[in-house]
Amino acid sequence: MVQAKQTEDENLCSKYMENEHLKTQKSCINGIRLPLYQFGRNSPLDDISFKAPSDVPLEEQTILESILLAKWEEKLSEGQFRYDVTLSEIKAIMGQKKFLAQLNESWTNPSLSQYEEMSGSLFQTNWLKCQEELLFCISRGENNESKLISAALVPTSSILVIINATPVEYGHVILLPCAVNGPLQFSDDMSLELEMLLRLSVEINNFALCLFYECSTPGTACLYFQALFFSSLLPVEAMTVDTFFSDSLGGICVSTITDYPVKALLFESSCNLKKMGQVIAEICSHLQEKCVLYNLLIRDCGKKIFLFLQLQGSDRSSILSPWECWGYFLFKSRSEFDQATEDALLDRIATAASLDDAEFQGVKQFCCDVAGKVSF
Amino acid sequence: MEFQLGLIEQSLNSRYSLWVREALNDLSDNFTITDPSMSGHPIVFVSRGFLKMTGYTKEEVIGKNGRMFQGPKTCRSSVMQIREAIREEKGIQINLLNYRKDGTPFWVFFQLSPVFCKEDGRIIHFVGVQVPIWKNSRKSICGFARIQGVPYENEFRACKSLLESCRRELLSDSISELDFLLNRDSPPDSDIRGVDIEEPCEACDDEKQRAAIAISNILSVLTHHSEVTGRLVCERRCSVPRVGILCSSLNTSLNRIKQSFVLTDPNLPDMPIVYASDEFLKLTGYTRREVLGRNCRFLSGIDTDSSTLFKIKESLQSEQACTVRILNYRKNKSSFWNDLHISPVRNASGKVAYFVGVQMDEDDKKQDEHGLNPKMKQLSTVGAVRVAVRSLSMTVGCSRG
Repeated sequence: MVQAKQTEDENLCSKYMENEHLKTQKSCINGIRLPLYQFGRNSPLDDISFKAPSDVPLEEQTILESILLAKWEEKLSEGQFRYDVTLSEIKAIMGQKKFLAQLNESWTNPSLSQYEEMSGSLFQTNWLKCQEELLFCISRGENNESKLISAALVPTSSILVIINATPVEYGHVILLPCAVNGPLQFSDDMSLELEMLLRLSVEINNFALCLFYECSTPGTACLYFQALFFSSLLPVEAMTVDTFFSDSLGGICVSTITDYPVKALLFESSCNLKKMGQVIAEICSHLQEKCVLYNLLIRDCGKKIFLFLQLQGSDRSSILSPWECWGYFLFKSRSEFDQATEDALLDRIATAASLDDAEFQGVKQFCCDVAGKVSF
Repeated sequence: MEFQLGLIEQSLNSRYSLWVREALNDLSDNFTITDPSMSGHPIVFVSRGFLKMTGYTKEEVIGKNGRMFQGPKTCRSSVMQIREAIREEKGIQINLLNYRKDGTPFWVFFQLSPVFCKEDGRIIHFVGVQVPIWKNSRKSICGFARIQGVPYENEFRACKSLLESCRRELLSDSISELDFLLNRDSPPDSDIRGVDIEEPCEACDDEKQRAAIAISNILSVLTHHSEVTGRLVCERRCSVPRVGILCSSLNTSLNRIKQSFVLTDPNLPDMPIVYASDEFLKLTGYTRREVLGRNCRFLSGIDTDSSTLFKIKESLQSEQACTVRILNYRKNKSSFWNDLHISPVRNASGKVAYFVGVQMDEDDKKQDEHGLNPKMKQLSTVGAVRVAVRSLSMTVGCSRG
């Protein structure tokens, strides 16, 4: 992975657009053959009462799950990661919140722009290194059913699946939507990407999958999504919820996570993921405009989307990582890991700037408005 | 033998203070302590009461397996139930026909209880208490059992008072006197020797209660003496189980993987199979019952290359993954070439909890057009097993989905 460079300019997105040289540069993805997973024409999201690829959910591994895990495992055996994450210890912290802690002495906290830089390098100079980190790609296809092609040229507008060399959990990958000539600009309309992502979680069809998205730079969309596998309940999933919007027709339900230190909302739908994607996309672009930091977590094969809200504090390091929002904390030293307490972790969360109750109420009201509008 | 006895000494000494034997000897109950982590699951401690009851000397019992007290008329299904409980690291209460050294059978109420390491949830010992079922109570209880279908209150009371009078005779005095009683030349069952001895027998509440009290006394002695060494034990598993049964949520996750594979547990003696997929059973022709608990070597046969087996052994010892082509045998003795991939699988503590072995025979190699190639199928199985074991081994029973 590309070493993190401390850069003041975080707005890489617009940088790409301005950089004529980049635009005209022949992309290294051209001519590369990768395994290609093509979504079928019939989207499971279109169907009101959609079915998972296998008729009985969770009955067996899908091809998409298999290719992801197999490719990741292959890279693990090739030594493409800085460390074997299965060697790092995880435990539950005593207390009401059941926070999780991982001891990982090799983990380096990637600077927030590191992935942006890496995704940039995909289209620039450091291609050879990146090629080793490429697993496969995903695109829309013309067949009725989704299928795997063992090697194909990367089609326009697809999602590149790239390993994260410093994984937080097993199967940690970067999902980079891209056009042939560079990263895809999806800040304009996030709903298409979200739909692809929801479809991905439906077709992976594994409850262990965590698909997530982080917007940690105010006013800017991030260029990629991430995924990892964790089969147990995350602490935030075990919390009680207070449902404040429920639409029986549209089948969308929005709740507050109660008694949780991070301001968080939960969107649930069992039958209309496409609409839920649209709702989330609109809410996200609104949050971006308001310079509210947020991150998303997609769980339960797309049926649950958590939205975590933060504010830009004085210190960038105080921003909670997505996994910290879930209640999953990484420790670099044994002593810190051994001595970790729920109180200390609550303090850590408290250092992050949070929305005040009025602001949170405003976001909730906006969610109601959007959800109400989209469902009818 | 000397080496074995040394290990047995070690089994108690490494966990409890040196005075634990003395304290256990002060208890008058009939019990043994066994160590399931040692080869053959031997008895590592035997109480004086137990020796009196069975007529053996300490030297004759230590290092042996508890099955030495079973005989031709011991009920097989009871024995299987005990074995199952041991494998699943659970407690069990059962009526059992045992045999003394002189060959005379006698009924006991047997209660087995696991002892866990507080720190890592590993099973340390089993405590087995045996309370003889006294003949009068036995008869009454057998009678009681027949009327039990609809337990009429009156009959129940009558039965109970009858039992109590019987008991008073026996239990009015101290337990050491009971031992004396039991050890007299006429053992409780001697008068009915040969008559109906194999007839199923139920213990009464008093006997069950006595067993429970004994278990709790023994466990409190063990807990106390483990505090001294700092290597605490407890009667309920309060930490991540390292070995033995797979929690149900792990089983569910593994059942999703439609490949032929097994999990073996290197932390158990002889590294037995603890999980076998349906596809593995189809491939080899065995039933699940026939493979669980056994070492994988039964798949090898006369023409299996020993250098391949050595290579596997080496990779297991070094906790490294390996891929070999090995000649394996099905239950019907037919052989097949198996492209076997073996990889260590770590639990939430980062320790090797299992080895996963993914089999691939010639049929599996026929790749369907849009599917994964065999190599990828194997790797995806390994990946899915890693995902399941890693977080589900963190706490017991944390299921989802």
